[in-house]
Amino acid sequence: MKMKKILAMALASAMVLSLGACGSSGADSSASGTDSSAASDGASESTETTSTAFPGTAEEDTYVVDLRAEPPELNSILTNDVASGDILRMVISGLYRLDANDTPQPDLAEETQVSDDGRVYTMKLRQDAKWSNGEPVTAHDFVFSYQTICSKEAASSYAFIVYDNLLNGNEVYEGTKDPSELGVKAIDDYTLEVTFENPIPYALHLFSFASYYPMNQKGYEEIGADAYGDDADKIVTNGAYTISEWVHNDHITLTANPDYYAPERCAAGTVRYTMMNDANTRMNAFQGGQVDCINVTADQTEQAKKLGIHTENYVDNGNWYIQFNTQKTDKGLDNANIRRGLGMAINTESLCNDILKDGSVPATGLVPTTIAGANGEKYRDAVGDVVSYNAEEAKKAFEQGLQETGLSAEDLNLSILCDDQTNAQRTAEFYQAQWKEVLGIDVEITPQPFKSRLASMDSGDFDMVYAGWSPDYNDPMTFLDMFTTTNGNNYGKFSNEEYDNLIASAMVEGDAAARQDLLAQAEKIVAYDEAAIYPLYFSGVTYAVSDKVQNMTRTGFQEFDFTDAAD
Amino acid sequence: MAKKKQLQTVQAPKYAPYDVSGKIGGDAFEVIGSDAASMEAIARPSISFMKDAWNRIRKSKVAIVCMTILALIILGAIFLPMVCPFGYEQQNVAFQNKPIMSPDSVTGQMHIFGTDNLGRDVFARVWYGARISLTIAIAVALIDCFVGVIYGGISGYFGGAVDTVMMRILEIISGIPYLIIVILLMTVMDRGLGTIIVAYSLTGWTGMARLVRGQVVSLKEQEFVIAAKSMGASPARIIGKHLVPNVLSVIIVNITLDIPNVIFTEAFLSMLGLGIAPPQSSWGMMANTAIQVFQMYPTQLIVVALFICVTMLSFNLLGDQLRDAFDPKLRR
Amino acid sequence: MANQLRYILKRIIYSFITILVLTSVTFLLMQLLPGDPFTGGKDIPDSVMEALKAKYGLDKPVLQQLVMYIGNALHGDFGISIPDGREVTDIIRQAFPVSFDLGIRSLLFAFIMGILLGIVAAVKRGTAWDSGAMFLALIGVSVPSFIMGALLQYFLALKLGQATGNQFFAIVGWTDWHSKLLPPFALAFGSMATVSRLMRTSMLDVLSQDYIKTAKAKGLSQRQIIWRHAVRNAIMPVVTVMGPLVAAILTGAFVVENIFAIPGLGKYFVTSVQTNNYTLIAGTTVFYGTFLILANLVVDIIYGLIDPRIKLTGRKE
Repeated sequence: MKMKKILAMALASAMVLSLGACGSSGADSSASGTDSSAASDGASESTETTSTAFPGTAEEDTYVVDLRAEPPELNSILTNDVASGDILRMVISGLYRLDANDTPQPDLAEETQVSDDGRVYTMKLRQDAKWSNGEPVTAHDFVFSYQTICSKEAASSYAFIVYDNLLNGNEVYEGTKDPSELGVKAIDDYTLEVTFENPIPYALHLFSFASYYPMNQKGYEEIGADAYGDDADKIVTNGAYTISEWVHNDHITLTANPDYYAPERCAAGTVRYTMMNDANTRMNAFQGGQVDCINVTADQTEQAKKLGIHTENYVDNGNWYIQFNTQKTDKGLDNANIRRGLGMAINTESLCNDILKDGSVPATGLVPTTIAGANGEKYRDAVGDVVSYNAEEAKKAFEQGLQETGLSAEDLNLSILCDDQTNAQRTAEFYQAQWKEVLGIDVEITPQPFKSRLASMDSGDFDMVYAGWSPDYNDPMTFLDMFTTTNGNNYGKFSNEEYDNLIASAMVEGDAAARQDLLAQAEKIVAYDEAAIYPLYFSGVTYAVSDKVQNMTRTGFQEFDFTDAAD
Repeated sequence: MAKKKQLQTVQAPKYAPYDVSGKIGGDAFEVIGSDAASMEAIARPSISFMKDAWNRIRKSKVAIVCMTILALIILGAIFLPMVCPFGYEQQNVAFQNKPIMSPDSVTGQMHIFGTDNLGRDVFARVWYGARISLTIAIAVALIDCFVGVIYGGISGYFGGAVDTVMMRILEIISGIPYLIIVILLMTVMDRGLGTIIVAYSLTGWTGMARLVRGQVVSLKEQEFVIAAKSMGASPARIIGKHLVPNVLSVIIVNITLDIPNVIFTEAFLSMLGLGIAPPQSSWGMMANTAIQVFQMYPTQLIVVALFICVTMLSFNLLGDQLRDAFDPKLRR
Repeated sequence: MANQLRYILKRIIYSFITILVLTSVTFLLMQLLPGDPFTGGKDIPDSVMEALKAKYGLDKPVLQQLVMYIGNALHGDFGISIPDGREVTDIIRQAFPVSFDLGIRSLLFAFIMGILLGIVAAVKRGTAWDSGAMFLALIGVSVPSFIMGALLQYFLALKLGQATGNQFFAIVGWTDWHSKLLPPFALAFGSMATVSRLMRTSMLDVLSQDYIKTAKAKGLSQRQIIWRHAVRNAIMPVVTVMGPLVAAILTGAFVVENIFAIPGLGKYFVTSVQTNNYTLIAGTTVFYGTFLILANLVVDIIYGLIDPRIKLTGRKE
């Protein structure tokens, strides 16, 4: 399992892209300990029980939902963007799809057989699915798609999520093996065989992810690789909805696909996605009945309450934490006690309730509450808490660290890097005040635009950074293997042999419970004992919905999904 | 009225008419010849340009009021943060977004202008912010003015190839996306007041330069310039002594118009990590956060907007008075 | 006249060179921006990065890229925008008409209202008219468009709409005329203030000149004096700021487009820099640069038309 993973996210209102999340699982939908239930339940609840002063948009059988930013492109081969993934999920049918509870359900794969070693998946495909250009959806569409992604010419930045997993993927990508040797074969028109390099516990989640969608070769070649997915008429779809209009930076309109094999899944005849960047604008448009669902900011949650707007929230799988640059020996950041002291000094309860106010919950470890563990239990519930706020202990650890390093608090001159968004800076100001209060140190805040922040992290030009990660797939490993000595995402250059060994063992461990145990040990080392990073909160999303909206799925793995009406 | 008085300082003619022919009542007149000294005498006391302007400003009530307000704001910016019971950075997150005149939940002391979204005292922050914003605004306005006047003056006066090259350079400088310049600056400079001033000044002077150049181009063909030129005045003297005073009114208006621009650009730069370091405050930053919550907590926006507007009003009215005071055409 | 034409021709050639230099400088500077166009916060494997760079030609030396870019640009090919693969010319072709519409409305508003206000304030100096115009101008310069836009949208579009039940001002978008009232107003208000202040000052200068007194002495009516003699001369500084104001309105459009969710070009001008989208940065810079330089050229030509004393050529007999 050498899937490189995931990202630091831009904050909610950020204009910058954040990365797509892939895969998920878990039968249980209730997210975390907040009062929110799964989005779809909440939405129907609101229409049954309470009627607010916000009936929603006037058009019948139409939902208008705000996406905040435009999807860069709608090409499943290239995409690595959340907004693109949200639209693609509506218009493309893959082998599997996520239901309202984020569980993979068969979509085009009618019947799936898995080999005994867990590496070979043989799937019988439905024969009644059609592309929007009239062609039937066949196994060849999958073969074409996977072979295209695994070629350098296509230049897909997410290619590794396919080639790292499929048999011979790396060799095909590097050109040392022929594309026909890639682990994907069409046995006949409607039988697909996918062979992985290693057994993958979350393979069905991969099959529901955009990079594993089929691609119609005829359509792709007629439109051309560069132009594909750039406009409403430059994409061939096979899913629940078709794209009827795309005005760039303004809106995308989807219409229920009359040829779709399961029309009962469509929650509405028409769904229009708007792209409003400004939070005040979204709120005004919602109040003015121009849009049915918007994300609301921390300060707007109180406004929504006052106005009687119905809101929902959920934990979106993201984890935000402070990462320490362990190379900064002159600032004591090579000392675990100093690092842990700094992290533990932040009152995460107050952070979530007074500052973030968006449904975020205090972090209890590196792996968020939503991630699945062994034996159908959530990982977090199974292994318990690793970190928490404790001012007394923070002070003790910090002072002990100072003694060990022989530094004085005044020498440290620490700074913290954060995004240039207002909310990120405000949160950083809260940390700054906490450090002053609990540890008595002055910390400078260095906000930077997203790309600059990444460049600074990459070059090691920081003391501490306030950063976040969202998972690639629904498994604790996606969070836990990031801080191994050689991992490209280990910006703080943390290196701990015991931790590296635990992760390496977990990767080859076949027994789920034993694997989870290894991962839990590794988590305690990286997040608490050595505190390479200190987790602060699992991020939440709060959104407002009008009375009209029903059957919308909103979770960390699928935002604004309207294809689960039949579930 | 004030202006009339100046006119009266003109001396009475010293020479007397005399009878050229000597035919009529010759005794009534005495020939005294011509008095070289009195012919050379200056018709009114020599008052320097600046002194004259100052005299006129002093006599304008409006100017005095504006200067008093500005002085009060500056004094407040210096001293009020020192005596305020709350520090500008002091948070009480359980007591955030409170309206004006809210007693603090912990100390019971009054938050005169309420609190912001981290529970910090807006009164302390707005006065502290005045320090930053006014310092930057004044420094930047002066630099822009200085560079812009020189550049525009030279370009406009010399014309021809000099003008062409200088104006094309200016076009290139103002054509590069500002965000690129700012982000690159960030990679080479540390944050701080100086950095903001540099970042703004790098491109801020171009508007002024263009304006001055335009005025100079239209003035340089006028008679008084031609006269000065024919008397052998150097270009530096013509630009400095003859052209600039005549475009001063436009320059002053432009400076006063520039000030709010600087205040809000500072906020933009600070957001990007170039400007002041949080938790310091500035008016631009406060306006930036206040606008995001104005639907819920309008007082935060009103307070900072009021400060900016009053300052602007004072600068503008003062600018108007200065315009009159410096206007060579109103100087008799 | 021949002289004039030769001057204009020369200026057009200079403008072309200026745009070339501007493009080159921007092209080189943007490569220095921290980060690359592809990373989104995670580590991209080296071989994928190579493939990406090869696709967009970023594996070649910068100077070679520049030469290729200029060569292609001269043929009308501005490359493809990096994250989305759309053609830059396509993006500009779709977004520019909206921005142009918004910009022209704003400019007209700023100039017509600004000049009228300035004239009224100067002619009725010291009266309530003057104070009123002054006060408006003051609000205009003190309240930037991001605040003005948010306030207008909330009070006039949302609150007034809810109170009257009639959505006279649209909240978002750029479609019918209801949606085209507030955004130009928010965008142009500051510029209007600048114009009116400059116009007032310049008008006062002119009104105190001898030839105005002569005209008055000759018994010309106030209206004739103002429109025939004063305005024509006083408008010079306003014409001068037209260049910078066009720039301010073009680049400032980002904020207003954002607030009113208008699908214009301003957004790309900013986000392309934030995302290191090199081709789009270069494309928008060339486009905006050309616009600004043309605006300056027009200003200079208007100079000559309004005030015949000005010798643009700089040639002195």
